[in-house]
Amino acid sequence: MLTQLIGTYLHLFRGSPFLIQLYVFYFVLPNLGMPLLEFDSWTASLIALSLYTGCYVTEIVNAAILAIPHGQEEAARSLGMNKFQALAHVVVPQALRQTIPPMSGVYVIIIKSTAILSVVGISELTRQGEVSILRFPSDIMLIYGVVALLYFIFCYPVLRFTDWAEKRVGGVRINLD
Amino acid sequence: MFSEAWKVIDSILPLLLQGLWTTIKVSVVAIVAGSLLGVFLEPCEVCAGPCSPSSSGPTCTCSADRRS
Repeated sequence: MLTQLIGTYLHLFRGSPFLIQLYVFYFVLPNLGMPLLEFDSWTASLIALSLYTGCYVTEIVNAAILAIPHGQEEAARSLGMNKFQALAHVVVPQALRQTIPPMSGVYVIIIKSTAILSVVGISELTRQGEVSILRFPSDIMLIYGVVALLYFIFCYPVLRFTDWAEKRVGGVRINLD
Repeated sequence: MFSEAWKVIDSILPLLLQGLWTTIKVSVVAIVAGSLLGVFLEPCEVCAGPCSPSSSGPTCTCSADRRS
């Protein structure tokens, strides 16, 4: 049952555009009449973006766990650990190190996806750029250039940090001996 | 030309930096929440999934393997 629920969540969120998911959380769910689902723009944005991030992170962690040789879990089970302990103490720590390279790509995608939040009224960078263009309509290229530069200034350190983290902690070590 | 461009940048920069700060807040919260969700969700699924013996031997095929 849990596996099917998680699978449904992953297929739904990976198979639909983020903009549609945002519309569902901001426009559709509040109209169902339940007070708990009456989200404001901030809450709807954070929930939609977190669930969107979560589905990609889940798939990355799944691939990393599957990449760990099954013998690791068998060895842990033979030492008397149960399945959860073998996962928590042996498999997942090794798997998390392998998630660093693909995670950086997902994080940059999420940072750039925040631009979509401007449609529900969040005053993030892209929306402020549009407001600036209303003030200076003849300088549209300059303003969008500055907006792009600011996104780059935010994303580049994230990529450099994950490069450093990968060299320091993560990555797959292949023994050719 | 450059002085005019600099005047425009100088007047819009506070607004853009405010937008950048909002972007940073939203993306950090979403990344942290989404990462925690993903990191705990997948092992929970692997842990909860049934193990069925495969026909090739005594090794188990867990639900995460079947799904992928």
